[in-house]
Amino acid sequence: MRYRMHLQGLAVTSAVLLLVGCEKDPAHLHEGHPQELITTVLVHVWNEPDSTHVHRFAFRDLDGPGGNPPRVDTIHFHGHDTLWRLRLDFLNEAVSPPDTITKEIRNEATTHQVFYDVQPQNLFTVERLDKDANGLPLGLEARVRLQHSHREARGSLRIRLMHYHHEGEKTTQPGGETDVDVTFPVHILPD
Amino acid sequence: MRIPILWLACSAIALSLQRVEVLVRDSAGAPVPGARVVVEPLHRTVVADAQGWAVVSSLPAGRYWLRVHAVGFVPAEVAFTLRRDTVLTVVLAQRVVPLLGVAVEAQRPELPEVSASPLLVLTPRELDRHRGQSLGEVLRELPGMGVITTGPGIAKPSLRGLTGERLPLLNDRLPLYGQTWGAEHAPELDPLMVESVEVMRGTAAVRYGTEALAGVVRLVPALPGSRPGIHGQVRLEGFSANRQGAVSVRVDAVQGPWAGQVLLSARRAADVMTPQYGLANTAYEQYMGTALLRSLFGQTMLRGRLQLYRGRLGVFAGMHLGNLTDLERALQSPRPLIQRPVGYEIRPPYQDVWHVVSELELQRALGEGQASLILGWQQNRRREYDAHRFWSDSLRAALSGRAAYDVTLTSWSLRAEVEQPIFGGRFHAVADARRQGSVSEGLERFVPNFRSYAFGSGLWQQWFWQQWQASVGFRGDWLELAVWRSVAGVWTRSQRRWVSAAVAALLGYVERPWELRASIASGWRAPTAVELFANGVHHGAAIFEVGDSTLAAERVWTGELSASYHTVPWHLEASAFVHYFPRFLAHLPTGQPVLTIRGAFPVFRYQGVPALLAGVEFRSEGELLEWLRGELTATVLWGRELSQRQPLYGIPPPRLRLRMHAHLSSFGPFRLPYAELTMTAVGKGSRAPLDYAPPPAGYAVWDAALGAEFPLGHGSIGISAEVRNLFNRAYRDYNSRLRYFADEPGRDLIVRLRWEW
Repeated sequence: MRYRMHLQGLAVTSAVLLLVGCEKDPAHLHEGHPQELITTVLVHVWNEPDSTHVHRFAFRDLDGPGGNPPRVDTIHFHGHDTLWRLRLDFLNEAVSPPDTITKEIRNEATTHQVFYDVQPQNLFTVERLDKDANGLPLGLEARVRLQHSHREARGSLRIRLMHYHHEGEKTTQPGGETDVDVTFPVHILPD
Repeated sequence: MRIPILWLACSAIALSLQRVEVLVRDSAGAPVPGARVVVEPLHRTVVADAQGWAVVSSLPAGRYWLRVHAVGFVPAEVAFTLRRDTVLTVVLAQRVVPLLGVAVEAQRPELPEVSASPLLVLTPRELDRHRGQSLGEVLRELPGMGVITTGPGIAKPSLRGLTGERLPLLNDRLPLYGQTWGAEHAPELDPLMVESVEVMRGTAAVRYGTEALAGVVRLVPALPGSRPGIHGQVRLEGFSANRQGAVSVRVDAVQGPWAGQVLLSARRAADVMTPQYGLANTAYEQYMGTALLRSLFGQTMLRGRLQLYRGRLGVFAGMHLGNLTDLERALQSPRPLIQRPVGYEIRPPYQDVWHVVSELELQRALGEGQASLILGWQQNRRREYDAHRFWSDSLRAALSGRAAYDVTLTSWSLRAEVEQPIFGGRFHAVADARRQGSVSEGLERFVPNFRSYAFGSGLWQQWFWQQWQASVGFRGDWLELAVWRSVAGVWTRSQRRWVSAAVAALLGYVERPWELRASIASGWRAPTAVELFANGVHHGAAIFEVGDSTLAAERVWTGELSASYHTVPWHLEASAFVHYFPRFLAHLPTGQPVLTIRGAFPVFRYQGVPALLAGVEFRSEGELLEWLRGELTATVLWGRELSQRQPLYGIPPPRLRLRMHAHLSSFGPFRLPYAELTMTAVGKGSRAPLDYAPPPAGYAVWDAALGAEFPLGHGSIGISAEVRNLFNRAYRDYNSRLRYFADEPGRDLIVRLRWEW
C-alpha cells in the first residue's frame, strides 16, 4: 500500500515537473529576429543637363512605426532650371551595414510601381522614365518639369510604392498593397 | 387514487455527481422515444432517444421538478432532489386512461445561479440539429448571445455585446485560457467536441472571478454515461459552401467504478463561397483529441482529462492591408480586391494555434452538499503568419518560415468549491488561484512578455421562504502583473497590482407557473497586458494601437429583471438588464495620426471611459399542435460611451428568430422525424465613431432542416440535412469582420450523420 502511494506521488510529481518544464520564462529575453523593414526613402535629385551635383533628400524612420517620429527632409528645386531628374532608393538602415532594397524592387519590376502625386498639381509634373518587362511604368527614375520657375513656391510630393500580388494584377493604376507611402515637403526657390 | 407516474428508482450511480438519467416508459414497460423531458426551473429540455432515455448532465445539486410529455400520453410532473448522479424511471399513462392524479412533490425550486436572468441551455439534441462550422455559430440560437466572425472558421462568442476578457468560456468546469485579446481569436475547441452549452447571463464575478462581467458560457463535453459496457459514437458532417468534411469518433468504456473515454475529431474546409464570389484564403483545418479517465471511490470521484487542439485557420486575403489608403480602396470596391479560385490551400496570412489542456478534478459528496477541486494546466501557442514578403535574399532565407506573432500563454489554475445546506439555505464558497506566463517570440512583439498571479475567494448564500428566494454573495480578488518588454533597446520589467471586490444580490418570487426575479451585482477586471502596453500597427484593421500603462481597473454595476411563465405547452421568458460601467476599457481614436513609412495610421489609445449598456431578451416556445412547435427569440441591445455620448463599437444589432418545428414520434421505420423552418431577421447596427464604414443594412435569411433517427441493433442512427441561407441571399453582417470587404457565405447544405451504439 505504501509502495503504491509512493508510486502515485512520484507520478504526480513527474507530471508537474514535466508541465513546468514546458513553460518558457517571460523574464528571459527571447532573442528577436532582425527586423525586416524599409526605414529610409532616399530621393536623389539633379539638374538634368548636369548630373555632377546630386542632392539627396531622405524620409527616415529608423525605429519603425511608433517611437520616434520620422525625419523628413524638404526637397528643394532651384527655379533657374525647369528640368530635373529624380531617382529613388529604398533602404533598411536598421541593420548594419544598411541593406539596399532597390535592387529587389527592380528585379521584381513586374509586380511593383511607384506613383507620384504633387500638391498643388500645377507645381510641377513628374514623368516616370523606367519600365518593366511588360512595358508598364516602374517609376524608380523620373523627370521633373517645373511649371513656375520664376517665383518661389511650396507644396508636397507624395511617393507611393505599390506591390501587386501577381504580375497580371499590375496596371497603370494603384493596386495590390502599399509598401511605402511618404510625403516630402517641396520648396521651389525663385530664379 | 390512481397514480400514473411511478418513481421507481432514485439510485446513486455517482459517476458524475450532477447528472440525471430519465427512462421514460409506457404502462406496458415499452420505451417512449421522443418524450420531452423538461427540468424546471432551469427549463432544460431533453428528448428521449429510441430506447426512452433522456440524459440531463451538469445539473447543480438541488431540488427540481420534471415535466414529461409525449404525443398520445398524459403529461406528467415529478419532483426530485438531486445530490449525486441519479436514475429516474417515469411511467406515462396512455391518453385514453383518465388522469386522476399526478404525483407531485410540492418542492420549492432552487436557483442554481446568482443572476436574475434564467440559465440558457442548448441541449445535445438542439446542438446536434444546428451545430455549425464553428462553435460560436450555434450560440446565436440563444437570446443575448452573438458572435464576432472572421470568415467561416473563426467565430468568437459574445454575450450582450461583450466578449473576450469580459466573457469567460468554461471547458466543462475549467476556464479556457486562450489568447482572447484579438477579435479574430476564436475558442480553441472543435464544435464536435461539445455536447451541450449553458449560458449564464449577468455579472457572475462572485462565482466565476473577475472576468465574468457579461456572464459565463459553459461548453459541456460529452462525458461517459453510467451504463456499464463499451459505447461509442461516430459523427460525420459535410458542408457544401466550403466543401468541408468533419468526422468525430468517441468511445466510452464503463466498468465498475472506472470509466474512460477517447474522443477524436478532424475537419477540413476549402475557401468559402458567397452568392457571387469565393473568399480567398478562408480555408482551414482543425484537429482535436481528448482522453479522459474517471474513477469512483465511495462518495469521491476523481477525473483526469488531457485535451489537444490544433487549428490552421486561413485569414481572408482581402483583409490584409498595407495602410489606410489600401483600406479605403478596399471599402470602395464592390468585390474583394483579391480573388482567386477556391481551394483547400492555406497561405499567409493564417493562424496556427495549438492548445493543450491537462486537468485533474476531484469531487466528493459531503452529506447534503458537495465539494470539488479542479487543477488545470493549459498552454496556448498562437502563431500568426503575415502576408509579408522579404526584401533581401539573406533575410528571406533566414526568416521566411517565422511567424509575425508567436505568443505562448501558459496557465495554471486551481479552483476549490464547497456547497452545504446551512444557515437555513444553501451556502457556497469558492477559492481560485491562477498563474499565467506569456512569452512572445515572433518577428513582431505586439504583446509584451508577462507573468501574472491571481487569487480570489467568493461566498454566497441562498435562502428559500415559502414563495420567496434570496441570494447574497461577496468576493475579493488580488492580482499581480509583471511585464517585460524592450524599451529603447533595454529589457525592462514593470509591475502592477490590483485588489478589489465583487458583490451580488438576488430576490425571486415563484408562484407557478410564474417566476419573477430581480438582481443587482458588481464586478471588475484588471486591464490586460495588451491594454496596458500595446504599441504597434494592427494590420488587419489598419490602425495603430497604443496601450496606457496607467490604466485603472474596469468596474461594472449590473441590474437585471426577469419574468418567466412555464406550463406544459408554453414557455415564456423575458429579461431586461442594465450594465453601467463607471470605467469601461476601450480603445478609442485620439484624432492624431502616427506617421510611418507606410503612410499615416489613425491612432487608437486604450482609455477608461464611462459607458452604459442595456438590453432586452425574450424567448418563447409553444406547443401549437401535438406535432407542431413554435419558437421565438428576440434580442435588443443598446450601448453608449457616456463621456462623448457616442454609440459603443460592435454592439450587435436587434435580432429576431422565428422557428416552426414539426415532429412526430415515428414515421414508418423512422423515429422522431422532424422538419423545421427558421427565419432570422437582423436589424441595422449603430455607427460608432471609430468605424470606417456605415453599418450594413438589416437582412433576413431563411433556413430549413429535416431529420430522423432509426434503430440499428443496440444503437441508433440519426441523420439530418439543413440548408442555411435557403434563398442564397447576399448580405453583410454587422458583427462580421469581413463586412468591410465581402459578403457572408451563401447557401450552405449541411448533412449530418450520427451513429451511436
